[in-house]
Amino acid sequence: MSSGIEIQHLSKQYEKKTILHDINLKFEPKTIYGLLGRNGAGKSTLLGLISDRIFPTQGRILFNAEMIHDNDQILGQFYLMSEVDLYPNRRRVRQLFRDTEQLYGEFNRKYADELVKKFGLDDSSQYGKLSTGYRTIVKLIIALCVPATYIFLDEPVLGLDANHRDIFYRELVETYTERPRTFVISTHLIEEIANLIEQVVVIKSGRVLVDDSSEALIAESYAITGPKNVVDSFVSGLNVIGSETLGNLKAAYVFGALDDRPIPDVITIEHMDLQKLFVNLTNEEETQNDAL
Amino acid sequence: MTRFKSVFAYTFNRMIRQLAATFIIVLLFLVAVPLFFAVISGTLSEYSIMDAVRSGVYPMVVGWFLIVIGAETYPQFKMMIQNGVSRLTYWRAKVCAILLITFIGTIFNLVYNWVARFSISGIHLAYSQFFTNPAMNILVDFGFEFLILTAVAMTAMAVGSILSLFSRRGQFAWIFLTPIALIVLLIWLINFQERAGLLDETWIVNFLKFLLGFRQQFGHYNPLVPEVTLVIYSGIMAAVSRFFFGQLKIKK
Repeated sequence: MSSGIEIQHLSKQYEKKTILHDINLKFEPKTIYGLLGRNGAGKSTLLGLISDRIFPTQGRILFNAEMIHDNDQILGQFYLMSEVDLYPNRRRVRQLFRDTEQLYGEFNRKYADELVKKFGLDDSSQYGKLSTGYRTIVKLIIALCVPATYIFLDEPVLGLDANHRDIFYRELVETYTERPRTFVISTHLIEEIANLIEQVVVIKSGRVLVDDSSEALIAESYAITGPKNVVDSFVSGLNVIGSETLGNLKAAYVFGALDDRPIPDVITIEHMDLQKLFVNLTNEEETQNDAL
Repeated sequence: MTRFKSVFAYTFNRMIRQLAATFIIVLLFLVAVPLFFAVISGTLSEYSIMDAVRSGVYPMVVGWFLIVIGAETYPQFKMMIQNGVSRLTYWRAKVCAILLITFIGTIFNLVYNWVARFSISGIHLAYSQFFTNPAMNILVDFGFEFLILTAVAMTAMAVGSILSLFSRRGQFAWIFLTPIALIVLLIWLINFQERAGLLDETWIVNFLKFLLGFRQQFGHYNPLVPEVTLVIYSGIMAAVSRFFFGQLKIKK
């Protein structure tokens, strides 16, 4: 029985700048994760460390209680699709599929051919001559067809138009249903993946801010709207992660339990969506969420 | 198929295709280009395809190829790590693929030298009559060629793995500065030798003679000592490359 990926006290420094601070996380099998964070939060660095592309400054990463570093058995179960192009530019797309099959030992060629058609990709093209969007598509096709059980997708829809993004999301759901495996999706387009992800990890300034199921997160996040003085009075003592004011109206965003305080008639309480929650949690102007 | 086997097969297939392409390019350059100029200059009667085939360049192709392929580290590392291959497996597969390519190249060079040039060439001549059995001398010739090429390839791998840790600018700096530093060191050593008379010291000369397997009669030098030395040297270079392969990481 797989116990998944366990990250223990992981830190990463580049020269004197600390990118990740003492990260402790678990990625369970057969789960879709959303790895969220603003630009420079450390998401790509974390994925690079998990896939052994770079070395940690401190801490360790285990998979089924074994160190991942230089471990073929483990690395062969991971696939990281990232913005960085590691494939040779002069290789043709179909040759890349063959190379992947040879190096991973398996590759779902039939499904890859289907995806090539669906995305309208010319697989006889050289990889380096493709547009950014089509290079992303090549990497996505490989990601969906490799035998790996942990797929990390760093900005998976970079350069994709709306139609291609739609194809990708549908294929992701379909392939996950047919062969459940872990997907860790790091993207800025939170609204588009909000319905897909089961677990959410939010990273802010190199630290894990949130690590919970998306259901639990949304259940604990509230947008409280009403007259400014009533809202201020109601949210007093709660974990307010952001607010917006329009004239005398105010919307306060609260993360955490509301306790049993009476709710005034003039205010409305709704759950925030994931995007709103993320924006408020990672807003640099707010300081209260550091205490989460 | 184990991970090592598949990585080895991938690496070897790639190398053998590149070696074949290199030979075709060299062949075209040495045979077709002179033929073309002979045709346009009207000197076709002076052109000899056998002279072109007998050119001494071919045996050098394997050596040059091994230097280039041995030194090329980072581009293949990117492909390997993208496909979940560890640094150790990449290194092992590369060493084995290079040894097999070197073996094939050695056979090609020896066959070429025997068939096209009817001779043993270069340094091997000093050892060509050590054994009274001609078959053993052919084996020595093969061993020398193989070990020299292996030493060249392992040195290239070690240098390539060190250079791969630097940025492109850093690599250029090392590539240009190292030969200059070596020339300066050589000049200093020559001057130092003239002043200190290092080679007047009997033990140094004797040690160098020992390393070369020196005997009184040329052609009867003992090949075993230099061959063992080459094995040890190649092992050290392989260990150096192993260490630096372990430090490979994706650059920012």
